[in-house]
Amino acid sequence: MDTRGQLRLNLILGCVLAGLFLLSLFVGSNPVPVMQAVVDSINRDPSIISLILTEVRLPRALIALITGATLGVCGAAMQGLLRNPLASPGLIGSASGAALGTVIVLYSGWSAVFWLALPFGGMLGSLLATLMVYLLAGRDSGSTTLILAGVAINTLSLSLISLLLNLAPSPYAVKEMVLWMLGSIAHGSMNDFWVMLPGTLLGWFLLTGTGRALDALTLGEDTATTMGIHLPRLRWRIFLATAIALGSAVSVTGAIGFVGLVVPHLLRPLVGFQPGRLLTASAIGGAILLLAADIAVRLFPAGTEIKVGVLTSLVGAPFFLHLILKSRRWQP
Amino acid sequence: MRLEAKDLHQQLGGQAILKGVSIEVREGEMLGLIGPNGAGKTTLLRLIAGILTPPREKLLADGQPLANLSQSERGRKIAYLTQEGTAHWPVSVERIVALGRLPHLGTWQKPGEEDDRVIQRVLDQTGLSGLTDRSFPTLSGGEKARVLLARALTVEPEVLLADEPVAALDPSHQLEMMDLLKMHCGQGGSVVVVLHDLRLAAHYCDRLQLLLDGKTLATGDPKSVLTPDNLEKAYGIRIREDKTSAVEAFEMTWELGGSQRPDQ
Repeated sequence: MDTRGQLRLNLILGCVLAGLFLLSLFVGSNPVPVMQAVVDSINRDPSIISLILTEVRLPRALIALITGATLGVCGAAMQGLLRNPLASPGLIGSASGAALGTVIVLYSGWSAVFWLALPFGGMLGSLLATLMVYLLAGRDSGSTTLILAGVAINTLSLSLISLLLNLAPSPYAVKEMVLWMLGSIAHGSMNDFWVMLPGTLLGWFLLTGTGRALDALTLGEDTATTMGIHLPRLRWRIFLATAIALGSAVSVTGAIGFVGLVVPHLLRPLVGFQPGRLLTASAIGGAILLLAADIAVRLFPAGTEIKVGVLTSLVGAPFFLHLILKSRRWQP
Repeated sequence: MRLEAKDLHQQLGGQAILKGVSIEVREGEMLGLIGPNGAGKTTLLRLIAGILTPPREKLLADGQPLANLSQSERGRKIAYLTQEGTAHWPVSVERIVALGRLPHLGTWQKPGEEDDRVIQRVLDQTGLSGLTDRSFPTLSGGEKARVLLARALTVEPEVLLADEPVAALDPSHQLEMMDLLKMHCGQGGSVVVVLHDLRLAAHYCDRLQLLLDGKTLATGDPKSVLTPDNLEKAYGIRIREDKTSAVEAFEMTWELGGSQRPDQ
C-alpha cells in the first residue's frame, strides 16, 4: 500500500466522518431546521432551535467525535505496542481506573458540590491505575507481563467499584453510578467538551510520531531495539498518552466498550496491516463508529433511552467474534 | 568498521553466561561463532547488537566506545538477524524489507529515492522481486528467512549479526543464505554468524571463534579451530577414523545447482 492509497483511505474516512457529523446535528427526537438554527445562533437569537443545536446536538456530536477518535487511536497504539490484536485501550487499566475514580466521586457526593470533581476524579483514577500497571510490569518487561498486570489492576478496579455499589447509601446513588458506567454522551454539554479536550489532544499529540516505532515492532522487540527504537521510552509514551486521553474521555462519557478493539481490527487490512498507518485511520474510524452509534440510539422510540455504551458493546461483541473467525487465516 | 570487545561478562537470571569473552570483527570478514548450546553465542551477539548493555568502555567501534553512538546511529551501523525471527502482522514482503530503512529516517522523514533504490537492489539480490506483494505468513520457511535477511541487508549495515540464520533451512536454502551473507562481506561489510553446521562454518567463514561455557576455547582460521582436540572438548564429538583429517571431515561435498543460484 503506497502513500497515495493511504491518503485516499484517510480522505474517504474523513468525508464519511464529516457527513455523519452533520447528520448527527439533524437527527433527534425534535426535528430541528438546522439552517435556521445556525442562522439564529449566528444572530445570537436565543430561539429554542438554536439552543437545541448549540447546547445539545453540537456538544453531543463533538464529544462523540473526540471520544471515538481517542478510543480508536489508543486501541491501535495498544495493539501495535503489544502486537496483540486482542489488546484494547482499556487493557492497561486506564478505563477501569477512570471508572473507579468517577464512582468514588459520585459515591462521596463531591460531584454535587463541584461539577469538575467528576472528570478530575476520572482522570486521576486513570493515571493512577495506568501507573500501577506500569510499575507492576516493570519498564523492561515483555508484553505478557504487561497484559497480566493490566488484567490484575482492571479486576481490582472493578471489584472496588462493586464494593462501592454494594455499600452505596441509597438506591438512587447506585442508579447514578450504574447509569454513568453504562456510558453515554446524550447529556454532554459544551463544558464537558472543553473539559475533555485538553487531555485528549495531549494524548493524541504524544501518540504522533510513534508510528515508525510501532512498524519496527512488527519484527519483535529485539529487532526493533537494534533498529534504533528505544522501547522503554515508547512504552512509557503510549501508556501516558492512553492514560491521559482515555481518562479524559471516559471521565465524561463513561465506559464505552469495543470501539477501541473493533476499529483497528476493521481497518487493519485496509492499511496493509501496518501499525503506523493504522493510527490515523483508527482515529477517524473510531469517531465514525461512535458518531454512528450515537445517531443510532436516537432512533429508538422516545422514552426508551438506550445508552450508547450499551449499544456499542451489544453490536460490538458479535461483530468482533465474526472478525476473529474471518481473520483467522492471516493470524500468525 | 572494526568492532572489538574485551573481557565481556554477562549474567542472566543470576547465571553467569559470559565469563570474560573477547571478540574482534575486522572489516569485510565473516566471523563464525560456534560452540555447543548454552555456550553464550546468542548472548554475545545480543551484547554487540545493543539489546543487552555491556559496560560502556567494553565495546569499541574503530577504537571508540560504541555507547557514544545514539541508538539510531547504532541501528544504521549494526543490523541484527534474530534466531527464529518472525513478523507479528501479515505485512507484505516489500514493507518488511523496507523496514530496514527505518534507522536512516527521521521521525517525519519520508523514504526518498536513495531508500527506494536500496530496497529494490536488495530485493533483486535476494531473489524476492517476484514476491513483493505476498503477505509474510503465506511464505515458505526458506522465503521467510530470505525476507528477514533482506530486511537486515536493507539497513546497509557495516556489521551484520546473524543468529543461526540457517538452522531451519534445507541444504539449498542454507547455501543460498550463506552466499548472501558472503555477498555482504564482498561489499565491504562484515558478518558475525552463529552456526551449528561445522561444514558451513569451515567453508564460508574467514575466521571462527569457538565458545565453551562462556569462554573462548579457540579462535582463528577454521583449520586451526576445528581440531579433533577442540571438538572433543567443546562438543564431545570425535572425527571418524575413516576420515583422515578434520579438514576433510568438514569439507562441503555439495553446492548449489545452476537453477538454484539466488542471482538468477
